[in-house]
Parts: sequence; C-alpha cells; structure tokens
Amino acid sequence: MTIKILLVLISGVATGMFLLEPEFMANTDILLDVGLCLLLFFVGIDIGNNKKAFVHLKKTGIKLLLIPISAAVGSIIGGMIISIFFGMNIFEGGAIGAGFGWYSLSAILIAPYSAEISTIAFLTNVFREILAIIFIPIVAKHIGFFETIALGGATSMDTTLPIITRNTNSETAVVSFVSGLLMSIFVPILVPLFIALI
Amino acid sequence: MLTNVLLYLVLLILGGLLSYKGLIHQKLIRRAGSIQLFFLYVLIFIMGLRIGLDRDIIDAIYSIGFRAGIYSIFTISFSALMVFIVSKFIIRSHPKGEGENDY
Repeated sequence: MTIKILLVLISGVATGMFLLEPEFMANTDILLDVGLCLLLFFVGIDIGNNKKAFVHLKKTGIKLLLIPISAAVGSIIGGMIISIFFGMNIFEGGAIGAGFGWYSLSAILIAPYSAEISTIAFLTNVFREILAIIFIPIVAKHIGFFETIALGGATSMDTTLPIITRNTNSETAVVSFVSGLLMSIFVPILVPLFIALI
Repeated sequence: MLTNVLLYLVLLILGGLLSYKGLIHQKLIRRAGSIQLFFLYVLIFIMGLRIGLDRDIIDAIYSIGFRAGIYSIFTISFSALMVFIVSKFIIRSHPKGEGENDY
C-alpha cells in the first residue's frame, strides 16, 4: 500500500508542478473538502459496523487520552533535541515540534517571531504529513496501531484518518479522531507558549 | 476550523449510527472498503497537487529542506516512541493485529 500511496502522491506533486497553473489551487480546496467528507462518512460506516470496538474502548477508557498527550510530548522533545544539533534555541525547536503536522497554523503562529523559523515549521509539518502518509501502513504492520496516531499528529482526525482506519481497526480509528482533535487544540496553545519562552 | 471539525464529527457519527442501527445496505457495507480506498487515493493525489502547486513550498524545499526534513524525522520518531512506551507500559492494550480491517 505504501508504494501505491507514494506513487499517487508523487503523481499529484508532479501534476501540480508541471501541468497546472497555481490558480488551480482554489479548486483543490473544494475537491479536498468534498473528498474528505465522503471519506469520513464511510469511515463512520466502518466504525459503526464493528460493535466490538466500542467494548474495547469502554474497557480501556480514560487511559486512551494518554495517546495524544504522549504523542505531543514526544514531538516536542524531538524538536527540542534536534534544535540543539542545529545550534538553535530549544524553545524554537519546541515550537516547531508543537505544530503536530498542522503546517498552516503553526507557521502563522511563529511568523511574527521569525520568518525563518516560521518557514522551517511550515516545511517540517508538510514533510511530517508526507512521512505519515508513507509510514502509517508500515508502522501499523510492524510496530503497533496506536503509534500510527502519533505519526498523523493533528491530521489524525482528518487527512491521515482514512489511512489509519484502512491499516488498523475501528477502535484505533475512534482514538485517532479524538487524538487528532485534542492535538489540534494543543497547537494554538503550545506554539505561542514556546515562542513566549524563547 | 471549528466548522470543519463539527462537520467531520457529524459525518463520522452519522455514518457510524446508520451502520450501527443496520440502516446501511449490507452490499454498501461490503463495498465500503473499496469506496474508502478510492477516495483515499483521490485525496492523496489532491494533497500532492496542492504541494506541487504551492511555489512557496517548492522554493522553501530548496533553501531549508534539509533542516525541515531532519526536524520532521525527529518529531515524528519521538512522537511514535512516546506512544509506544505509553501504550506498552501504561495502557497495556496494544491492539496491533486485533480486528484489523481487511477489505
């Protein structure tokens, strides 16, 4: 599946770069929204059809909130560690790591502080989404289902949710949506917090 | 953003409820996987289109692509590592392989 995903993604990038004009971007907003809505409806059908998932979720309960929290902490620590290697302030690294894949918002939040860090945050989170799309099937197969949610970060409630659902199970799909939602809420709180700490 | 989140939630719940209550035809449920896969590929293609169309992203890749690439690898790896530790030692419900979707 990873190879197919990668091929489709590369074809999309190449088509956008060489065959279409930048003005086409406005049309992709509508296409993306419609596609995502239809996809999420079918993900819902899938989840509702698997009644066992809800029993599992009830059993594990509140502990599942640790998934988005640990994913967020890990992402921030990763950002802070690499900032040391690049000779940057660790809180700058924390701010970049706290984007959790939401590239537009994290870049906007950092922009008033530094255009360079804002661009790094933007691109880091674009790459993160691409890496998530490529590696979710591999991580689901060889490591575990909940770890796929960490890869998706904030996007595990929308763009990467269908890939997570496709490669894991209904229980993980529900946790993924909730985790993505919580991590999306964390972004506008944590990014300005790290910027304030610099 | 809030409107989008609500819309996603409504669609997920609507699909889930209709399916849970048995109001979706079995034929459609059986084909749900293939339909999902079709939309998934369309969605990934559109995401690729958006990256290719955005000259800012392409220009930024040339200038600070390496640093951003390293950042993305570290943030994603540490994120997955933390979830691995938490799910293995605290949640202790590691659902790998249980009830995997196989369409």
